[in-house]
Amino acid sequence: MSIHPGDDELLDHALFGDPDVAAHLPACAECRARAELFAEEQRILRKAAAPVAAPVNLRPRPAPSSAWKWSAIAAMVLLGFVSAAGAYAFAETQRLRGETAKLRDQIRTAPSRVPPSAQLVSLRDSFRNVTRGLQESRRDPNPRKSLAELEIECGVGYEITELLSLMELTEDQIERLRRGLTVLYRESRTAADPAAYETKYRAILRESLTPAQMKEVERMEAEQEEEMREMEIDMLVEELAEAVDLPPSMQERMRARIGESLPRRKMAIVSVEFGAGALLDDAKLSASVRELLSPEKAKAYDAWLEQTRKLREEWMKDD
Amino acid sequence: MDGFEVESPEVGRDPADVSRRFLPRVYNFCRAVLGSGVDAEDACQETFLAIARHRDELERVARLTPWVLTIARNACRYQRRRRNRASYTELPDDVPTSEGAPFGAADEVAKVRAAIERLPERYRAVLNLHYQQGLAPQEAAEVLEVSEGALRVLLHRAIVKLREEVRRP
Repeated sequence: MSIHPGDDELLDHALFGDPDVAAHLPACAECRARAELFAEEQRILRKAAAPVAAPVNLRPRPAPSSAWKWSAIAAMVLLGFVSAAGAYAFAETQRLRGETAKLRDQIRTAPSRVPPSAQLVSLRDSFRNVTRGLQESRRDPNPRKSLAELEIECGVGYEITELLSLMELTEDQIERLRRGLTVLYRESRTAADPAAYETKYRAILRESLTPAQMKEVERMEAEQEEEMREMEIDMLVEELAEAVDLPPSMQERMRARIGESLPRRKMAIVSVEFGAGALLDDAKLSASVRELLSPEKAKAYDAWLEQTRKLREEWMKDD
Repeated sequence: MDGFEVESPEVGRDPADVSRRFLPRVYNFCRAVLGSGVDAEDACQETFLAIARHRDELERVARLTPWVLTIARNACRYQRRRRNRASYTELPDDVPTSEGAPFGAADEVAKVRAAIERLPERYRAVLNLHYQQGLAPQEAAEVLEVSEGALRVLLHRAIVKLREEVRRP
């Protein structure tokens, strides 16, 4: 290490021992003096961590004997039966009361057909399609292709279920969403253009949802975008740390740098690739990350990025 | 004594014996995580019962300390859920923003100890495992169910956050 270590690197050294810092210290009196401050901090922390005496009356209770345990279980089961019977009687009375009240209301108001829960219907349809797909994939000479279709089916099913957790959808809306999203998912596997994907995704939602529903979707997305971004940054830093062996202090700096440089994404853009995908697609982000690394680590970074690029190409080819 | 002694390899595997010997460790860890002596006592008893229930596993584990403290960690979670509240006011669990200088002789140990008690739970837990229980990063990571890399970052953050707290007027 030709340059003087920073405070965070000295902290790393005090905590876990950093070979670069250890090699630098014998030749640099100034850094040795700084390192001593960090060592003193560690001594204080160890003193502060001195254990306190456990209360004198705290003694491990003997584990209950098995005979006692079985008697307790039997008593619990009996109690459970009695409670369940009581609860059932109570619930049944309430249900009958509720039904009577409902009937009374229905007589008062105009009767209307209540469709089965749209969420259940959507889930049921997805489940049937996935089951059918799995059966077909076993017979298929090219199972990878039919599994890709299954993945799309699951993704679309999940998207619709998510929407249903936010709002009521009619059967017609569900069908329109399913058709549109299936086409979009198929396209996005071969032509990954995030901006075009976003536009098409919005168009499908707008065609299928009412303006009020659309507003609700946007509100939810705004809430989740920040959370997703934090997760993406965490994943990226974790992968980078593993790939080029970053010490904790460097991980913190990397997190801040990626936070500044990573463009904000819309929720609609589903990340279907490696955490490192952002570095492959965004040369500016990649350069700003690389800039923070020492020449040795930058070399390791280049090699890792190249390997990731190849893996991604193979992955895309397989599809 | 700063922290606990390193676990002796010739430790017997009788659950009652293990519970007795680990009582101070478990109590101090639970107290650090839960921030309350009373809750820590309950979590200790949960831990000892779980050790007795896992008698078979106890025979097989290579290193007892991380195993026992993992059980204690789960007991603390259970205890926390049961109480369904923080038993004291703790700082928001955010990432510290600036490094700050290390604290030194001018910062009394008692002041540092009080500042640790105000830290968020995961920071208290990692500081306890490192400085008091004397676990290696890999073992502490096992107890907290995180990767070793994440554990190192967590410890680094805990110290930076602690400096902020010690310096707070």
